[in-house]
Amino acid sequence: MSSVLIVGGGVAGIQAALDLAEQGIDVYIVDKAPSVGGKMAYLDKTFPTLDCASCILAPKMAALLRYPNIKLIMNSEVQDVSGRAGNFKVKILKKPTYVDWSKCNGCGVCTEKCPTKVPNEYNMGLSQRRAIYIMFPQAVPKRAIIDAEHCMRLNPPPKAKEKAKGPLCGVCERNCPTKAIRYDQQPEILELNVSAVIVATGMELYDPRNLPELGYGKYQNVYTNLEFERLVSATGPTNGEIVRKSDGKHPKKIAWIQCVGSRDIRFNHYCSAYCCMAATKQAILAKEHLPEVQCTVYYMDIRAFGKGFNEFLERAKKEFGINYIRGKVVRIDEIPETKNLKIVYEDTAESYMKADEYDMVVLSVAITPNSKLPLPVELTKDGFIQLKDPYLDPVSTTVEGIFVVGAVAGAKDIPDSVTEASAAAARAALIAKRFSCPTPEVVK
Amino acid sequence: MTEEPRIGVYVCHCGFNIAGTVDVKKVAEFAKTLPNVVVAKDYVFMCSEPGQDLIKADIKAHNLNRVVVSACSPSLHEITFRTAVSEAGLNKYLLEMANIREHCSWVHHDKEKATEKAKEIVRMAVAKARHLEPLQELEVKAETSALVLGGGVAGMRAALELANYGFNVYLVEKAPTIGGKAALIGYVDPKTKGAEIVSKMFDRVKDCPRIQVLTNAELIQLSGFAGNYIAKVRLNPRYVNEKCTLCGECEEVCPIEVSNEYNFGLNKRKAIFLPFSNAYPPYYAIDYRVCVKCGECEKVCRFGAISLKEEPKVVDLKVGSIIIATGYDPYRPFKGEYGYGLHQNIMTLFQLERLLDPDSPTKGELIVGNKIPKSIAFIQCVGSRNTTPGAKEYCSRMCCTTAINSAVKIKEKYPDMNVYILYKDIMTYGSDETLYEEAGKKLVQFIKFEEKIPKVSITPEGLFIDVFEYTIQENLRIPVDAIVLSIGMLPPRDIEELIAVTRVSCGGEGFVREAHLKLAPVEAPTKGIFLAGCITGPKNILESIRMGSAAAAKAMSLLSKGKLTIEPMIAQVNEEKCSGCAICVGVCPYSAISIKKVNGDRIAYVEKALCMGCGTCNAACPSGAMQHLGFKDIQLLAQTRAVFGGEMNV
Repeated sequence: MSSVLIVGGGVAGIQAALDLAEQGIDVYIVDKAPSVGGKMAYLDKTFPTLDCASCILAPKMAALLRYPNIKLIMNSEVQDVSGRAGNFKVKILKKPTYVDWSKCNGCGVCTEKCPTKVPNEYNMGLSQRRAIYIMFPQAVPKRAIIDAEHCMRLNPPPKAKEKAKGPLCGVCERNCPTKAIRYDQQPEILELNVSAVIVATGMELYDPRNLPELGYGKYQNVYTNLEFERLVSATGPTNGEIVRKSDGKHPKKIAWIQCVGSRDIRFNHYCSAYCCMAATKQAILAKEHLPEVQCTVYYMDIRAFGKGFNEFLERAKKEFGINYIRGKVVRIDEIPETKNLKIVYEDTAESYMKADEYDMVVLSVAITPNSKLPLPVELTKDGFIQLKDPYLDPVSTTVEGIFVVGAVAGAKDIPDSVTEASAAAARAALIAKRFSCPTPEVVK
Repeated sequence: MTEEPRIGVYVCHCGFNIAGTVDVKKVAEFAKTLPNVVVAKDYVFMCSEPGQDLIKADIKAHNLNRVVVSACSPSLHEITFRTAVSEAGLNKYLLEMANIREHCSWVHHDKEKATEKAKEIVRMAVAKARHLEPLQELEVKAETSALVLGGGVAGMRAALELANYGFNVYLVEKAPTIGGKAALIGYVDPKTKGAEIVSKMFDRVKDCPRIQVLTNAELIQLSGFAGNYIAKVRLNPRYVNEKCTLCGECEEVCPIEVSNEYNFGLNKRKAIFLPFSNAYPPYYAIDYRVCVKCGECEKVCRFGAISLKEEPKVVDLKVGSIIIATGYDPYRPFKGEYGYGLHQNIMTLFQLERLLDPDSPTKGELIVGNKIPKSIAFIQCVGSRNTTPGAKEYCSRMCCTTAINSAVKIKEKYPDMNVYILYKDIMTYGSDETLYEEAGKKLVQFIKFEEKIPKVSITPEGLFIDVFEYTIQENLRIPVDAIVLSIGMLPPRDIEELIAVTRVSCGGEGFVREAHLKLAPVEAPTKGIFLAGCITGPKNILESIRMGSAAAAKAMSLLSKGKLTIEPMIAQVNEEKCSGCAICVGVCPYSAISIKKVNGDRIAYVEKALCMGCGTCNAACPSGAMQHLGFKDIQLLAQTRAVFGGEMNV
């Protein structure tokens, strides 16, 4: 039985892996992060059911460990794919973690003793982690990794290095109960032979600093929607307390601004498909956390197209009193004394400019595909991976045997990504099992 | 089990995860004081190799017959420890997990109190463990062949996937042709004709000997369980066989005329008819519901292709899985809704799609009321988003893109025609947005309305739409030559029968409910039944096709091994206590329980392969006859007594 490579360990990659592994097919998941989970692992809750994201994702992540035929290759990047369907040669760069993962058991002692603190990417920089860290508590595999750039031992500050006689620090090595630390670990190149490849590299969030008029990065109380998601999450930097960066106080009025970087001919023409419902969900969560808070969503069209979405939107309006304004935000000004934010917008209902003051603003940013990959696939003009013939050959790229699922093939939400993942699993399984269109045993 | 329980308790530190908040040594010491506990130990990581080896060694050294692992959630490592104890020769169901991480250390800060709570959790687990029994998994042989219900794009895709994988497939379609609604959509995107796609899919289905297409067929009964279903399928007579050459002479002599559903009522067809030019199978069919059996067609047919003596047949098909892909019905506007049915120039989006199809009665020309209109207006959300009286609450997802696609097509063909789209929100999500942009460039005019819906007036001067334009806050009166109602999707008319036969359930909006809306979108809650296409709610064609592949993947995963393992933690009847009251039969959500006569007594009977172990019958049983293996009353009561500090030796 031959094997399948899955590039990207988000919810789509995980689903494809589980579907294939259950059939006895060998699966490799390569992810550049130290844990699987992808963007869904950052979410507090999911729309429209308000399911806790971690509660539905974590069991799927844990399930990966139950299959001996699933191999997780974390902290790694695909460097080259050659060959063709049935026999691809894949080169993978396995970057050093500086921890022997066959020994590390994720106890976390090192991450408490390490003296160096750096911004925690998992909390969008809103909290700190150590230079040696475990990506998040439910990480799979739950293993520590050293951030070499910030590690005192691996990248000592020049002055300290001059003064010191021997190697610096070494606290994690001394404290590791399983003796797993390897400061001398080197990058490795892995070579695999696989019959099919599933690309599930997902998306990144558009950098709202490209819209300087919205003041992100300049005004403290302007957040991206993923930052807000961490803020509202119980596992987030404030344990779920919604507070302003500027003064640590609860906001009284929050505004969401839709289509930041999407549906905008200056940036991305496409609609990012997730943001209307994500903003609706976040506004509901804000109301649940702070019942007195006023929530307003500035939108162009509300896109409530999926199952249960329009019902969710109606609930947000009626049950939670979320206010929706059809308006295009022109600029945000910070009021220096209060650090509050004045939103200047065109009310497209009445066609003239208006302004309103908020103490927190959340930007619903566009997604951009993670499609810059060393793969021979073609891209659309928007940078998504091009499908060959989605009607007759679903989820296939222009290269036979390479399939694509999730947001890297076009903006979409979780259920659509999961569906595509299973679809790709079906198609990759055909190649892996080498059942080309049939021979014997005709049904009667 | 009659032998005296000998229990080993293993308390995990989980690094600092547990040991940081719970004094694990104290918990282990406490465990030693509990009845039947022979040995209790703590270890830094019980799930690690050395941790598991420790348990295995103890089972042998201390002759343990029960194991309690006090660590994390069973959803994480129960399988790990079950494997470990079975490797040491113990039945794997003699393991009990005490979750002192998620239920204790992770949610508390006070070390002393958390330690006390951990002790109680362990005490409960030990109390239950004393009553554990060995259980056996059942393995049943499973059929790989599949029944795909519905021959639209989703069903065909699923069938192709499964057949290519090596599974035999019965593709069951109620209509005389496969192809579904997609076959009738003029253009599914600016470049692709619906008929082309289905035609290409037909070719593949034809070339696949593992797919048996059963048209004019319907599932009338389903029995059995995943891997072993018996599907009773009724084959309604077609009265026309493969000798048909499509000459069409029969059609000419047929005296019966009815509205042609394949053109959404734009024209009429005969009782003997060909649904559309590239229908599959490529023979005429007689509509058995309207045929009067006059015999004219039989007489005129020169090829002996018609036989009116054909009778309905019922066949039993043995299949391992069912894929439900029976699609949707278009929303049916009531007479007078936006003037529908009162003027020939007011049509539905589906009728427009037929007109734009080169294979249509007008050969692809947009002819309404005998001429090409100078202006046309689409009204969106007819029947969707609570817009119109009698509308559904949901968004039908495909209508904005379909309408805009058609508008673009119309503008390409008739650049001078005025095209208006009256909408609430334009739902061109994802990359469909480019089509919206394109429509703007082609000067399709978008008019937004909100709560106040447009009004259609039919006057001697022609058709008028009155609408309050939201973005300029003004009333407009637009004269138009034709009006297209962008109707949404409804659950298929026969969904009640589907529910009755397959026992799937529906959500409030009327479509079939998935096992999990987000993470199991193509699975029904019942094992072995999968869902594809619009049966779970509105979707576009591409999404439906992908769902077809996805549902097939699930069937492959479930059945590729040719056998299924049945969890033993299911309901069991104590026949002596059972009074045959049948309350359990009514509450079982999986129809796993029936009443059987045993020596003249009515006794509940549980079909093991159908039982999902939900415990509902257990709770409902008034006599305590229904017991849930692994969660028997005696086990749960022991646990309950233990948590309230009661006597453990009862």
